[in-house]
Amino acid sequence: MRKIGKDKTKKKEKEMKTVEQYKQEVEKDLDRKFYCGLIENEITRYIKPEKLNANNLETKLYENVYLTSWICDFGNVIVGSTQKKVLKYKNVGEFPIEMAFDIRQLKTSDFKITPDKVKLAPGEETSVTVTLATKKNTPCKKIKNSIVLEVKNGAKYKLDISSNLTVPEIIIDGNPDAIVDFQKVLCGQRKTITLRFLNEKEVNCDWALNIREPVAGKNDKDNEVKFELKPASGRIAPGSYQIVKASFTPSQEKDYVLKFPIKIQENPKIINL
Amino acid sequence: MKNVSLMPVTYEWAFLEEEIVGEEEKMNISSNSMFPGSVPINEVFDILPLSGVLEPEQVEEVEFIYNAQGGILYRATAICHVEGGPNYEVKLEGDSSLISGKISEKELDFGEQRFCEWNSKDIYIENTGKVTFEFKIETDKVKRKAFLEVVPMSGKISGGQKTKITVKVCPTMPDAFEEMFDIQMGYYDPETISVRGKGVYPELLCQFPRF
Repeated sequence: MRKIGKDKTKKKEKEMKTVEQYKQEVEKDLDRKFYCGLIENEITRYIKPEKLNANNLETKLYENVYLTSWICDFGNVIVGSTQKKVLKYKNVGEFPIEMAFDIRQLKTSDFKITPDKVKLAPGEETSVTVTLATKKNTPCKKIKNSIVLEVKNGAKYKLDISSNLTVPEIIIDGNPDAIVDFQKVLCGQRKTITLRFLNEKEVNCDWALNIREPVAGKNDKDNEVKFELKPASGRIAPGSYQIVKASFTPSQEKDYVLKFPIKIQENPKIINL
Repeated sequence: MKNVSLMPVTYEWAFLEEEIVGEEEKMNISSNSMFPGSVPINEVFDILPLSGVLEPEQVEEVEFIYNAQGGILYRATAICHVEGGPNYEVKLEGDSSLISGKISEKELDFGEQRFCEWNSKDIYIENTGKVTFEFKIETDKVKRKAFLEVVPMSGKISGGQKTKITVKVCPTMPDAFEEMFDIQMGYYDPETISVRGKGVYPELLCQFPRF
């Protein structure tokens, strides 16, 4: 019984490989036919095809023909962080492939491709890593680069790499200056104001009240907690909000001005409440 | 022809019947209809003017015309009878041949080649006859004219000679191709040469999504 079972699994493995190969065959053939179509269009578009000859064929006819474009989208990336994506390329033909990425465009970009030149024997596979390394002071914006991948004596392809550089941030709903005015509160009584912390950015925002830093105050001799924030930390999903309660319990009759530094993870800015 | 005597000369041309010889060519002749006796000599050779009078010191051009007949070598003797004078003999010989040529290959298979590269193959047009003929290449049937080149496109080939024709082709795209062009030799119907092959290219796949 066991033997039969093994045979069955072996057969299944063989079948899986065949299906995989079949998919590759289909994809290869579709690519080839699509490429032929693109070249036909280019030939008909070309004003004087008689002018094409052995010397200028490659430079003129195939100049603007790209078989396909692959998309490598890093999505939302926090400024100051490094992200990597790995692309796997496989030589599914009968000829050795010499592929090279045109990385001249990336000189002024935060994207890097390694390796940029690869040789693949028939059947061989390789991994190419695209790295996005942003510096801390990079402004938040969408970045995009279209890199040409050229196969020697073969087709040209494009690799579109993009990302949205962003930084987590909190906005206090209805309170752009982050000033909470409790106005007059009876000594010994606690007044609570409900705040809405909004995350209008595209990434999660982890925030925490930074109680290690001294809370600014005048002649605050007693260590009694006058201002309180509940909760003192949290994570707000993109487009979402969190209800935070700020309470004030004065013990003396005076004006209190305090600052609550709220630190947001990966954002060098500090919101002083 | 010059009259070098002091008196006017009357002359007349004729053919010496016994001397008419026609030899059959080994090729391209159907022997039944081409025996020498069946063709009158004055249809093979002609002399103009046939007769006339020349004044003293007068010079006249005599034109000998040969009408080529079906691949047979003709020899004859023309005699100029001078009235009151000697006979002058002129030996005539004329050969003819049918235009005959052959092409070394009519099907060119380039096999698999890189789709963006040019490859070439040579064929030969041989003149198997004796008569020079002109040949011409017609590329009207070629679908992608910029990607098939034939050199030379025309020319002359002397009897017994052969000329090299170079056919250059570029598949342009990774697909099978088939093209045809014609070679016309002399006045015969054109012969069609077919050119076929397959363009290939290195195939690469990536698992990332496409645009």
